[in-house]
Amino acid sequence: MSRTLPLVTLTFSEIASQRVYRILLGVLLLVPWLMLIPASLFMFDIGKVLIDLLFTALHASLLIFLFFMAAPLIARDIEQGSCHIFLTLPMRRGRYLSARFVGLIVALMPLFAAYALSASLTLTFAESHWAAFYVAPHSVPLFDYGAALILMPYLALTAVLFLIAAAATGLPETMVFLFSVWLLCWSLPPVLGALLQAEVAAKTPTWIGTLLQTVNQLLPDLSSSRISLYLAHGKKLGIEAVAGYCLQHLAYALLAMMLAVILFKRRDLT
Amino acid sequence: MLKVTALGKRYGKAWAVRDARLEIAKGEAVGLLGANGAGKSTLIKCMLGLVHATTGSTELTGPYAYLPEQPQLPPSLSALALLRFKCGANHIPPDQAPASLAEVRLSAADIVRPLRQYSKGMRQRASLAFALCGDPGLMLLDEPMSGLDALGRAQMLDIFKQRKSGGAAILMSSHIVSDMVQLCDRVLVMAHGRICESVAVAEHSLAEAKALESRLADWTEQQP
Repeated sequence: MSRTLPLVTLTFSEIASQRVYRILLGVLLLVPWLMLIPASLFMFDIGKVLIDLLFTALHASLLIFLFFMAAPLIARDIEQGSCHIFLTLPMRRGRYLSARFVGLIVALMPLFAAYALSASLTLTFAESHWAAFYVAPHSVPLFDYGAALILMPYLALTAVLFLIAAAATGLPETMVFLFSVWLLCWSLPPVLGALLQAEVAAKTPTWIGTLLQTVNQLLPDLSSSRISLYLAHGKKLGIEAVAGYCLQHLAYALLAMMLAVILFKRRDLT
Repeated sequence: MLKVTALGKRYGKAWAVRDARLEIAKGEAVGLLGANGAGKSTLIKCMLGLVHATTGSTELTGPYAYLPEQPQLPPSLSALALLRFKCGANHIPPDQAPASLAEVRLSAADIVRPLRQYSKGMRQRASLAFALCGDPGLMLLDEPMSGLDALGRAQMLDIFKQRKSGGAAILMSSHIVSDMVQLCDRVLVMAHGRICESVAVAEHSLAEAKALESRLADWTEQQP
């Protein structure tokens, strides 16, 4: 534990001292206000549209962090041998990976907090200035709640990144596999949803459905659109549903990290 | 400080390192001399557990430090931040961080700059400072002079000599015989993944360096 905390802190410093991090922080403060422009075109219910747009921008910013900050850090560490200086402190490989993982999540928090703060101010502004076009009032707590829930699948996807990086030969391979996982995460649920329709199911061989279901079970559930939609449209979410959702992603992240540690321990760091 | 017993590493059917045995005592400096591809780096990485040995074992006693051949340091951090991290992680007094950086002759202005702005030689110095910080009893140096100019090499050798006289054990791999002869008490000649012979260095002279070069050439030209 004594070496874990310093590495968590170092990881945060390493990410936070990058120029791209500071730029992203600035952009995240600005984006919610820019979202007022497209939202104002939908004068029948600005609130819902604005929250939908804010959730979409949050997904995008989390992906930017994952692909352009987290992936290069861990892939470079393993590929180029930056991890040697940490492992020869000495430090156990499992502890090293866990500290890097936690450090990245900690580094994500200021970005998330900045975005949530700016988005809350934007929603308050919209609610007070366009009250006539605002069907669902008190949208700020709904947004904050939904945004926190959206973080969960990205926790799982970050763990998948570590799983990929633990076995990959370098950054290009890590990026390709991470992109593939992300693409499958987004594209499979709608396909599976379509397969549930009787007409489509009748014309599709059973094995295709089974195969897609199996692949889908192996991937983190990124389609939090259901959660966002429920919140944006003022529908209540049961505590069981939310707890199940959080547990599912936490368990997935834990399992992926355990697999990553197993793979990383077996790997030669040349 | 270091005991290696029958250490071997096999990739597929080829042995990168085979049946390596060596011991290093406190205050002793041992050279690992070999041509490119002789297995020097693999042997050191096996000792450190970075590469999993196929056979054999390594016993490391007390705190140790490793200087990689091509140090890769976090580019966005400063050298001072990196060494402060080591101090925090290894319970070293924090004032040792700037002291170690000063020992390798990095200026106060340089140590707060991001490492990506460093030249190759400066990165090598920062990496050495990271290794020296905390006064490790054993130093495993993989081609430590790589990328340094003549003055830098002389300064590094001075630092190693001081550490050695202070009781540190040193294992230094290199293919540059002259550097090795100046520092080491004995040199292990490596070829084709094997430690072929151990040569004592008594006088640290040019003649000994030439003799070692000749031994290295003989062993390297032999069939594995």
